[in-house]
Amino acid sequence: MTRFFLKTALLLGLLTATALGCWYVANRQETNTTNGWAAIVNKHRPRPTPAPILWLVGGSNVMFGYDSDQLTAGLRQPVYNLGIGAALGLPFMLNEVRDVAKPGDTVLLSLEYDLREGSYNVQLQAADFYPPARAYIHYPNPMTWLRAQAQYRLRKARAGINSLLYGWSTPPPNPTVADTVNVYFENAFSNRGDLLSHLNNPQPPQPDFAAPLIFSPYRAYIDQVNAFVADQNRRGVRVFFTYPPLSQTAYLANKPIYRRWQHELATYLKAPILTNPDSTVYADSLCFDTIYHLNRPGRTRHTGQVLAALGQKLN
Amino acid sequence: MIFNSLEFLLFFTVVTIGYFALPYAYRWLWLLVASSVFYMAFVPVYILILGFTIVIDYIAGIWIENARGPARKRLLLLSLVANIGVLAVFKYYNFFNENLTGVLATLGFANPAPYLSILLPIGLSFHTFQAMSYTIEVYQGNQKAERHFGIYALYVMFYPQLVAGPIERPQNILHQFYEKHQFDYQRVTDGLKLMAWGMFKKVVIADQLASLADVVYNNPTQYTGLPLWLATGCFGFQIYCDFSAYSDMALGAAQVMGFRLMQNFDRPYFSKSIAEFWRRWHSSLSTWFRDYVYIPLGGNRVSVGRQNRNLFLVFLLSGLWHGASWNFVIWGALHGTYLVVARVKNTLGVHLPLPERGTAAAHWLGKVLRIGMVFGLVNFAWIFFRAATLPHAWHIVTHLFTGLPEDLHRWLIEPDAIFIRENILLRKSLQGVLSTGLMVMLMEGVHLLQRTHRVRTLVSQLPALPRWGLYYGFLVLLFYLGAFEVPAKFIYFQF
Repeated sequence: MTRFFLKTALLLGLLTATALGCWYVANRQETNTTNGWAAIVNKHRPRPTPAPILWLVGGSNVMFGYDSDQLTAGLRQPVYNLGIGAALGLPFMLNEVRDVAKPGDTVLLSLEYDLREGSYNVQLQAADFYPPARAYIHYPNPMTWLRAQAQYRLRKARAGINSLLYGWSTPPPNPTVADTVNVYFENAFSNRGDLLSHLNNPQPPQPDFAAPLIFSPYRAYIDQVNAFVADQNRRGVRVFFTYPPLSQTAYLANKPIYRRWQHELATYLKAPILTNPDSTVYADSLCFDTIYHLNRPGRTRHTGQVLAALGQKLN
Repeated sequence: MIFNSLEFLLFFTVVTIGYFALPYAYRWLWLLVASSVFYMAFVPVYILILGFTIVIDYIAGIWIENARGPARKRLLLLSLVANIGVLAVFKYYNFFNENLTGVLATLGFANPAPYLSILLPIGLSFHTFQAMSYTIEVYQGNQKAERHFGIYALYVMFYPQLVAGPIERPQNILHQFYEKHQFDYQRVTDGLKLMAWGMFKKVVIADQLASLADVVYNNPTQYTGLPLWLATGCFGFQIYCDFSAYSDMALGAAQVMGFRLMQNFDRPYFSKSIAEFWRRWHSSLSTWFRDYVYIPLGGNRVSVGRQNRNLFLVFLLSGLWHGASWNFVIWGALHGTYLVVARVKNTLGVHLPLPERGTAAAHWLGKVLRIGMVFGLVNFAWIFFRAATLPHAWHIVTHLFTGLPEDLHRWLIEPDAIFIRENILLRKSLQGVLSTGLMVMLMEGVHLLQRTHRVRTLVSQLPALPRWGLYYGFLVLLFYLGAFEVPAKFIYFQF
């Protein structure tokens, strides 16, 4: 039996060493400038801002859909946009804003209709760039933690092997806000966290916005939001909700399903809802590359609408 | 808990260490508890169904042994009715009810029987058939009734083969639960190697091929010609790698602890006839039907006509065993037809014009053609097995040749990036398709080697450095190419 355990340990040691080598290669290849999830570093850059702050929270609809300067000027209070991508998941986003919001602040939730747990792979990637984000990741049980870690490390090791197999790829030139090609990268944002990189890009071809959706109940996630709202209200943080911007084609193609989600939100959500679900539906010409992403004119219009609604509540 | 999950890795490690650490007297209990945990990881409440059949068959076994005369048969029937009753309710009720509704509707009547909203217990057909083989063997006097309730329960529930076989016979496995298995280095490492090989077939080949086959089979009406052929071929290898992988892992996990389960697969795609295919494919089920249905119906002792009828019937039942849908019935009927036609052909002395005698090359060519023909027939039947509905299967069958010459012409003469991507690569990356293809070839290479050698022995005879290099390389390949992101269930779990 000793021989068996010794040999097993040796083989596992060899595999671990290989994995470590692959992670090293993968880490060397990955740079903040080319990975969109590195934006979390930018979003958490220390800012000497006096309270109270308005925090915009949600997936990519938030980073595409708001002009925080316009909101700051209109509301006469600093506004920061925490939105990066829906793949970070609802628990991550709520924990993230829990971490930064102070008593007296306001949180505006603009959650995609199907925003759920998110992807551990994306969350761990973001946490690699911004280590405090590890605390934002929610693991319901130790097994989930183990599985998430194993899958993430395996994926990273594979990336390392790919780098070795296909050669050291020449990193692309650092993308900038000024260029008219790149959209998702670390420094694609304004100081307030709004996405800027796409504003001067030509309109990309839009995919099929009418792709069919499947309804699945959202109640459990609304309960998570309600717990967050109660917790923040106790701390003196006000929380509001707005329906996310959405392409008209997508809305019309799946209207019964959106209606059911809207009904669930209207029935069970315990945060004040600022907008009417139909009012945040925009013509496809105001959308950028997905059903939730607005282009420059769309952003201005959506920000104006939310500003009007928020202004009434905050002042 | 599926074999290709992290949970199973932990479970297997703990159970195996516990098994060897415990005194012999408690090992059966340890395995029974572990098997219960394993089963309850799927849908906990369904252990009650398993418990019901275990109690019935345990008591029936003892009563059958003690009874004399016609009472024995009545008790056997009681046990069979209980087992088949469970299958009828959980697996077949809705199917028959649906068909009854259709028939009554055509006659202008409404069906008053309600539709049952129940989930099929995982591996139901496997453990029910294993339980039935026990009472039948006791009835036939080939097996003594098991007096130890825990050991009998373990016979039905032994976790490596509980949810997808092999469907064991009591003579092979029951006595092994009384054996005192010691830790044996060679046996343990052999078992682990078999498990690793199974894992390779599942995550590196089957799950990768699944994504190719699924593109077409999830939406077959969008395709004609070449993509249908490619997707069907992919499914043919996928189902083999998926199911045989489960058997390998089951055999390996059992072997580590000292148990010997029956072989379920023996390189079936090298079969030169359909009859040979069924001796090599899921043989624990084929022999079950042979021993408990075909032979009791008269076997080869009845007239040729009745033999053929019984053979066809057995394959219809085999189709129905797989799933409660007409697709599976047709799949079984196709195999039954293949076998009956082959028998009739042999009876009439008709031979296919294949080169069999003469030079070695002609002999080899004849073999290859036979293997190719069997592979083609089996794959044709897989269309019904894999298609989600009968209309889907019908679309595939009727459109296999639609546009095929044009597809082949475009592929060979006018390579076009979009055409290649949409129809040949089935929207996957070239790199992914090539690596999966290479792995299929590697597996078939190993199969060819297995014809003349025991591969594990060959490897163990290598000098230390290349041997360790091989183990290391194999594991790196497994982790590099394996589909571990979302562990996919085994296809046969649904049966």
